[in-house]
Amino acid sequence: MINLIKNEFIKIVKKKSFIIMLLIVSGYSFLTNFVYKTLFDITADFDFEQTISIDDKEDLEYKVGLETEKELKSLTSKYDKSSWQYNYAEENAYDYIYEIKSYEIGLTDDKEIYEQEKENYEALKNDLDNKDWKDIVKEEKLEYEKALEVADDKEKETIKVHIEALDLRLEKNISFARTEMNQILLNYETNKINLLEYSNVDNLSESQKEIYYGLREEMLIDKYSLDHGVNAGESGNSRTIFINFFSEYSFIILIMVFVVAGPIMSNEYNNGTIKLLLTRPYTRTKILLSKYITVLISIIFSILIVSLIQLVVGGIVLDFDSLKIPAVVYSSVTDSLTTYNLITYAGLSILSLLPSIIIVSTVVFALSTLFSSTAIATFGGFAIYSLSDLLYLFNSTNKWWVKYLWSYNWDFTPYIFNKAPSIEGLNIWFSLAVCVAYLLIILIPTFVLFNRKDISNT
Amino acid sequence: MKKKILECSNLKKNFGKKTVLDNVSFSIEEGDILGFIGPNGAGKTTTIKLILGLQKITSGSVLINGYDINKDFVKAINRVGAIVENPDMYMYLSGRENLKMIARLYKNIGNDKIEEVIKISGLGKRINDKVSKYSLGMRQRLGIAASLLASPNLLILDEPTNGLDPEGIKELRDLLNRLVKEQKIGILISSHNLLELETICNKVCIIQNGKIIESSTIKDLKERLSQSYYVFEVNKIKDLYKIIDDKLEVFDEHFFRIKIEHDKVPDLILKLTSNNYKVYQVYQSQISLEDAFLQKTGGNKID
Ligand SMILES: Nc1ncnc2c1ncn2[C@@H]1O[C@H](COP(=O)(O)OP(=O)(O)OP(=O)(O)O)[C@@H](O)[C@H]1O
Ligand SMILES: [Mg+2]
Repeated sequence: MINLIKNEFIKIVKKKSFIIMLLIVSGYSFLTNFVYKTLFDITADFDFEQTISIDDKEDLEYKVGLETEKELKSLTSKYDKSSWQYNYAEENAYDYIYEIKSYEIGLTDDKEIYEQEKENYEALKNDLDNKDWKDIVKEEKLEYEKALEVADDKEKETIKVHIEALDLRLEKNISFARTEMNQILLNYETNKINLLEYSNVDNLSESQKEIYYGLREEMLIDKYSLDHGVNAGESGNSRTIFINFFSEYSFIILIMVFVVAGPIMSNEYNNGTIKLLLTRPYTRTKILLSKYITVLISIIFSILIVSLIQLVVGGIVLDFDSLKIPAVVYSSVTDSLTTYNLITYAGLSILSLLPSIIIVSTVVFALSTLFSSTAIATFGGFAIYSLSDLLYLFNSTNKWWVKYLWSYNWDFTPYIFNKAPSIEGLNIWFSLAVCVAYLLIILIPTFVLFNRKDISNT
Repeated sequence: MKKKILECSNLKKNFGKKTVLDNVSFSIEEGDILGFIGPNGAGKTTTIKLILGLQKITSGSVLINGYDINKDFVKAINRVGAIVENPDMYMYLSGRENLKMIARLYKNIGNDKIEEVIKISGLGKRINDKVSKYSLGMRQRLGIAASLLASPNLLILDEPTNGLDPEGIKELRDLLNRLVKEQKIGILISSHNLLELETICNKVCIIQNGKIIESSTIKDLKERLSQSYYVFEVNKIKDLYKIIDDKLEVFDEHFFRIKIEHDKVPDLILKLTSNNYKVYQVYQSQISLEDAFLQKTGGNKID
């Protein structure tokens, strides 16, 4: 039996289609990474200055905007782009300048505001030139603390978040400069404030819950990033591409299933080599079983190879550094984060995809065996796969049979990463039993019919 | 008594309602080379597939070395080497890799055995080329080599001469004769090349429309069919029928063939000469297996 399996491996590996598939997948991997790299470079270079034509002088508002931009630009141009002053000015001076210009151009005529804003603007300019950012943070904090005393309960919560953010700024030494960490801190603050609106989780509707958990996830990941001084939510690095590989690029795995399992029996029939195989001292059951085992092993093996390719290619094209940052997974069940190093994460992800991969492979394999046609096999596998998405529409109906559909049972991600199951009440043992039942339903007739099959002329 | 290697009894095969084989029985003993002949669609390949367990037997039985192919498949097939229809091989592998794959599926086939069959195949260095680059004859040679790997005592070759050059056919004949003599094996060989079978086989089975219509040794068959044919060369053919009552077959202006008994030949010569015919020569017709075949099956009709 071992020798049968060994032969099957040789056949797969020596076939051109398998090698070509691996090449295409590597090529694809290169391409995705390059796209991300290019996108990333473009965004980094993108200059926010706009060239505006000054023809349309009639529109006052427009003119105010223009003048404000000009003034802001002349202010920021004094500072280095990577300095905290530059970013701080950009984010805080606009409103002041806009009010000032509005009055000067004649859009508004409230002199009091004008004077006030002018004062503020001067103060800001003074701060930028003479103060350290930490002093500014401390001053802002003092102001919030003062406001806290007079605020009502709802406002208090918001103010507390602002204060926490300022504390974090000081603690983690994050200046106002346009850096990743600054951005993460701002996101954290915004998300946390948005979360204040959801006070009682149990009363939320399904879609609200989804938003709520989404915000919680983002917020917790931002917090993780701040605490560990890494960017765990960045999208353009090789780490994230690798993490998303298992969910977003599942069609690659599907293609590999088709390439490996689609032709495994039909090719033997169509090339007449089935006669070579079936006139050996092995029972048909053993021969088919060894093919099946080979399919499963080589699909898992291809997934590992492709993951490795993605890891290496991503490293070369983008960066190796981000690969050291662990994967951070949010669980809505425990409302907490768990971290895995990337290799463990990849392993667990593959494990949770495995039931679906095995079921699709088995369908493709069975059709290939019964109909001697790669096309039918591939189509059948594809149908099962895409039907699964469609069947997901049943998840809100409470028909008794819904929980027996493969769609709800063949993704083990909820069980392995401790997330909410696809339908309430499902657990890993139930899903495992359903998957095994599907496999038996497919495999038993396949083996029985294959044992009886007449090998016809080709 | 010689050991029976293959015994087919009352084989019947239906495809749906269509009966393709009916009551097919024959056996092969040690040292036999059985020629299995019949027109296209007669059921040769189907019989071979039933023997090899590639198709299910509707009724009847196949015993190989005493083991029933249905009940004891692994033991029955263990000492069988076969080519069915075409010498199909894995095209994307080299000849040697194909042989290695097969060798792996048996116990105790070492490298020396592989080298031995490669030598028999006569493929030389081409054995390392991909099979997709082989000609039909080369694939046939590889197929024959592959069928010998397991040191079979039953060799089943479906149209093995197909695609072989004269040199290859001669080699095959010598090889089969050697195998039969040295290794006490039995061979079943089907072919359209009847002239070839004639020189290779010692037994013959003629099958038509799924039924065995003749089963005997080559020698018997030829004797039975040819014993009474005589060819005459005469100066003219005209008006012969006036003096000869038997049916005769006229070839051209000088030759005719007639079916008479040995004893009557001098009488006929006398009769001809007395009627002013000149007789140049008389010889017993050497009927070929092909003629026998055509006579038996009544030509190459497919129905
Ligand atoms: N799978 C099948 N279904 C229906 N009929 C079949 C099938 N396979 C073979 N036959 C029929 O069985 C008969 C015998 O076919 P077989 O291939 O055994 O002939 P053969 O003697 O090998 O012919 P050839 O000399 O052309 O190779 C043919 O009439 C064929 O049409
Ligand atoms: Mg045939």
